[in-house]
Amino acid sequence: MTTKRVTPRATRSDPRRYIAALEQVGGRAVALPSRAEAVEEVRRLCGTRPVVVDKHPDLDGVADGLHVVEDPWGAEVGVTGAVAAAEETGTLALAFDADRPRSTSLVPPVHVALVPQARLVPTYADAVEALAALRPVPSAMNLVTGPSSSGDIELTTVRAVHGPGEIHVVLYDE
Amino acid sequence: MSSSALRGRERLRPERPAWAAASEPLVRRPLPLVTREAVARPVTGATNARLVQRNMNWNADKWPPAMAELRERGAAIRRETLRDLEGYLRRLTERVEEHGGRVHRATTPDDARRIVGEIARDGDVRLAIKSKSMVSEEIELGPYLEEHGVEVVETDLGEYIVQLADERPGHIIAPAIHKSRADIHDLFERLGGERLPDAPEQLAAFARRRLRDDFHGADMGISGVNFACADTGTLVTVTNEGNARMVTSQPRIHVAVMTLEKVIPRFTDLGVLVPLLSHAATRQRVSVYQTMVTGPRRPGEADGPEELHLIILDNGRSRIPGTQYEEVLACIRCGACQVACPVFRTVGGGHAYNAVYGGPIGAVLTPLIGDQEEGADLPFLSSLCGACYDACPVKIPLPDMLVDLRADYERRHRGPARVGWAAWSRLWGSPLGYRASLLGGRLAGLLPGGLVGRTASLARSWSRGRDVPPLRAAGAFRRWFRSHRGEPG
Repeated sequence: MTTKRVTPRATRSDPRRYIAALEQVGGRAVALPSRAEAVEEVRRLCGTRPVVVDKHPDLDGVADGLHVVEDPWGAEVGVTGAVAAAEETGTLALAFDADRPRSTSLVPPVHVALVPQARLVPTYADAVEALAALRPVPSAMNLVTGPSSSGDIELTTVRAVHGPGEIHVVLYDE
Repeated sequence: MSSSALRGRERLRPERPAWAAASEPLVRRPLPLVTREAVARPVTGATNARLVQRNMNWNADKWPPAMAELRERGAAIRRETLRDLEGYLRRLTERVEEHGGRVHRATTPDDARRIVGEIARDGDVRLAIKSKSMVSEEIELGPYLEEHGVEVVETDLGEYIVQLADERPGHIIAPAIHKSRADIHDLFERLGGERLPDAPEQLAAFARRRLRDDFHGADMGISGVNFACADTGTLVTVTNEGNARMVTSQPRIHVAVMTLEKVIPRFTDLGVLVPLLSHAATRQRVSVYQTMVTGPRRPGEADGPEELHLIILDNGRSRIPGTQYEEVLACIRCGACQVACPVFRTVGGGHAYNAVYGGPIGAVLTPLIGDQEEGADLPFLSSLCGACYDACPVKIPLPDMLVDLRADYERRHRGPARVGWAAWSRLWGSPLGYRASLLGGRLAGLLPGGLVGRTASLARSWSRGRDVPPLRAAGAFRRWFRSHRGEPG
């Protein structure tokens, strides 16, 4: 059964491409066969550290058993979903609203995203289109490709400047 | 609250010539003088080496086929914008206001500074955090706000470094390109009053720690705008560090500053323009963050600014559409022309241009905006090799514009050089005059060197820093050619 569902999907979207692209820019991603396993992986990544979790249907049940805090400035991990994820570049498309604050994926030093494979799109331009389709236009959106970085000291790339130094994307097949 | 990132700033001593200073108003000095001083600075050789290395790495794969196609599309989108700039600005303004933002049009840098100053005063702002913005340099916003009691902190790592050193940015997207790791290590140790490791990772971590409290506690965030989408009213910044995300989401007031040509027709154009900008600027497939702001925070939202202000600066740009220089407004500020330019590299970066925008784009833009006399001689700071056009992601014909601007300059300045060229033209117009000049040249070669630099005439400002090349061999090629003419090769 599982193989039957995975095979046609693999022709449409390719989590391996996404994983390779994100790893190339210093992020980490895994693809798991079920949501239950993916949620378990998110919990493993958070451990006992203080976390902020978006209150969004995509993340139902994820916060159970985690050390959830209210203030992102006191959190070490932020857990979000994503509107889309671009295979070509490893980009996550994020939209913010009352349930999904801007700070969750920004302020804590580690960002974990839980994303169903159905949200994979081939290219960066497709991720832009996915955000463009949202109505009303959200007050804030972000396209995120890898961990925070800078080349300002002698053009050498360093990580973890102001945004999260670690980004983990957990993909799952529905 | 006062800035913790700037604590200890009084322990720092600026070590730069006045023409590189951020805190002193730009006073233009004769280019030959500034460039001679620039070339003689010890930091220049190292900056040149870094830029040359980057240019060599990049030349190997400048426009791979997929990128070449994006370049064509990007160039077309930017020109489409310029055909109806005012129309797109009108739509942008409507959309931003629909979403609850306020739009302010500023004709001059002074207007722009004053508007931001009033917003800060009305909002009782004590501490402002800034992300990178060349427009804020153009309107000298930081020093103005400081004078009016607002502490301003640059949060981009490179901008933070040059702020501490009291310097202007040395490159559009790599502001501290002229600083070595040792310079930055020394600066941070003196600022913090503590010993630090000198690895780039550790230096960046020091800046991160220092700036974090300011991100959390600032009253106002000031950002630039890379692209402003006319169809949605969305303001987009493209960054790698994440500081623009902080600046646009944490303080209660967000002021975005743009020049009028930053508008683009459609949100979806970002699918072309962002990868193109990222490739040209840093050879990334895409930069890490594209931060998109459409109005202030909405009811129920936990963060985001309560007020959003968009300042749209003209400063002479609306004069440009319809002239032969229109395409200069297509620029997306990637800085690739600066890396590609041998003159920019040799003078050690943008400071030597003695203007806000250095390099080929600066040499074209500076004489066209603001007070047009300022920087009118910058187009001469080019070898016209054409590398800037090859590097440009939106195909701006910068070399052609440099030549046209030189011609404009000559029409306006009928100085001694013009008289000299006219005399030369008449002399070489006749065979007799030409032969006489060669003889004269050989005789001049007998004079001692350094004579031109010592002329005490009205041409002095031009002649300082220059000398006549050795002339003893003047006409040697023609003599050789005559003596070999007709002989079998």
